[in-house]
Amino acid sequence: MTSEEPVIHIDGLTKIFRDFWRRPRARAVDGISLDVRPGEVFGLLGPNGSGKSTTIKVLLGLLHADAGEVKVLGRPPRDVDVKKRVGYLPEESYLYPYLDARETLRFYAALFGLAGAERERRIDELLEMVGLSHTGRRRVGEFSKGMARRIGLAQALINDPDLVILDEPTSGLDPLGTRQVKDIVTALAERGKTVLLSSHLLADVEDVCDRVSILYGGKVRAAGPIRELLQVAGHLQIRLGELDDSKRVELLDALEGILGQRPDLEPTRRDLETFFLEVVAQARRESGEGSGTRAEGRLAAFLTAKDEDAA
Amino acid sequence: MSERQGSFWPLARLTVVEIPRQPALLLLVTTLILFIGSLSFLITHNLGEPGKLVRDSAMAVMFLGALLLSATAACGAVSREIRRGTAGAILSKPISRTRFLAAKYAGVSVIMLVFAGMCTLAILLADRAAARQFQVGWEFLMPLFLAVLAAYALAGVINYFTRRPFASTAFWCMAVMLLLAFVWTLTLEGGSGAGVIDHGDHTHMDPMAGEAVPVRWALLPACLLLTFAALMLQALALFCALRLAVVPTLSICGGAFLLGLMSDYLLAGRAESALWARGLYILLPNWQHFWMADALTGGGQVPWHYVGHAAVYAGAWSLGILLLALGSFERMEVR
Repeated sequence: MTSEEPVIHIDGLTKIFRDFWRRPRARAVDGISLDVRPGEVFGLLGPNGSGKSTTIKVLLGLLHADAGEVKVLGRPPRDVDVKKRVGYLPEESYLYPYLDARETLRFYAALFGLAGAERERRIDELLEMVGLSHTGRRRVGEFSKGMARRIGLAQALINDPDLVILDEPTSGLDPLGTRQVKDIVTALAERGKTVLLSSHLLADVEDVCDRVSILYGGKVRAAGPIRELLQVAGHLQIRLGELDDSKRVELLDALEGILGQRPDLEPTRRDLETFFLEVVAQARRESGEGSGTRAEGRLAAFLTAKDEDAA
Repeated sequence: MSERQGSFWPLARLTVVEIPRQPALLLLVTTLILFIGSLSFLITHNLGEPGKLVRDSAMAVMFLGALLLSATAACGAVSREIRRGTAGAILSKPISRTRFLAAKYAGVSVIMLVFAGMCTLAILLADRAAARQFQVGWEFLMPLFLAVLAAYALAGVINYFTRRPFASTAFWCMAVMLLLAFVWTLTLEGGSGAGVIDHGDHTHMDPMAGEAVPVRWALLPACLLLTFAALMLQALALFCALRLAVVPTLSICGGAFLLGLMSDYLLAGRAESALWARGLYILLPNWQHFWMADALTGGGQVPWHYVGHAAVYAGAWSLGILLLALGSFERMEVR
């Protein structure tokens, strides 16, 4: 695969689910085409049942395509060698409930043939990254949904993948966890990893994705760079710093003179996520760490090592 | 170790660790072991040879238990993981479906072998306990029952202090305790019978009183044959569990169990003249090859070369079923 080749290439993918008698039951994906380029964060958006997870499972070789061409890292998705370079976080964190966090990561690391000190180092760094290093021998079956998502994210990165596929990565996470996952995704992209992210949480996708495809009924309804898709044609926005009352009146008068109508003027607002994170950060400074997860959204060191080596 | 080799053992090992964590499995194994032990005092007839009925019944319990365990273990290892999505998460890693299935079979087979080992120990003890006519050899039975009790108690203590899962700890403790109990009974000769047996309204002489009761080692090859049969059932159960839940898996395995037991009666005669009967006769597992209880009557032995032949038959049949399972699994969609 050359550096210009797409990491994921889907052309006319169709997937039909059939009943016991092989009769078509549902056309989950209907002629989807898309390319994901190296180093890109690509979002698959859509409501439940739009075909996002089905597309991902075809990309992982778990489901067979009924029509169309699918290539991952330049090869068919069921190629075992391809899977060595892919990290996958499933929609639900399907974990073995009786293993603790470290045992879970040890198991997934062993599936990639990782062993010894290298494996333990990666596990330490990933547990630190997702804020679960203090969970000790607590079994993952006892974890909250958010904690299970975090350990799911850690297992998806254990092999230092070139392509990371995240299916609803922020589902079940609190705003703090959501922010941390978004920071990790951004950091992964900065390190040259390709990320395919599926979600129906629009704000999450908007924050981290370069390009998106919006699916509905198994078809692509809109696709492109997120900035272009969100532009409203013919509308402009002016952002200003602090203005005293007299200048505000002058500005409105001037704009009324130019536009022929008096525009609305509203104070700038933070979004709720930013406000929430500020409140939590303040509370943390005042009362110390709580008993939940502890993470800063920084990448594990082994995920950045190649970059540093190259520099 | 290469990455390809690396993916087999962790999955096989985890299967061995996970399956005994099902409380139903512990309950099943405990019930069967206790039942085999109890046969020594529940059965009072002897069919002309002390202990024969106990021995035959105990082996039958082991065979039937293997049927139940094969379905329970296979569904726990495969169908439940496919349904929950764990299999999909694992197959998204660099592990081929062949390796996945082989690792699962290896894992469930280890559990089946441990189960067969526990049953064999219980059968040897129960047989010794039933060897004296009209008298139960409690000195052989009590260690068996105490081993089960000690395993539960120890698992409780371990669970309290280390939080290890109770069910799997009790399973492994039971295997170790039964072995210890058996080894301990090897020091007993069992010849301390009272001589005169008092039944309240009448008394009679025990012809074996004062005689040593040796371990009937001839039971080992017979139990080994049943273990081969259990591994065949395990292969069939795994094949079914790829697409079916526990009840249909058990039903199919139960059907194969019954038909295989009767295949000589149902098909052997017709096999010479009808092609369909010959095909079915070859395909159905013939359990009669593995049921050698009658060969032990009157101090008989099962020759080891026969055990070898049976092992080849069991291996070939299991391999065939596993290849069919693999063919099915390769085409299967894992959601």
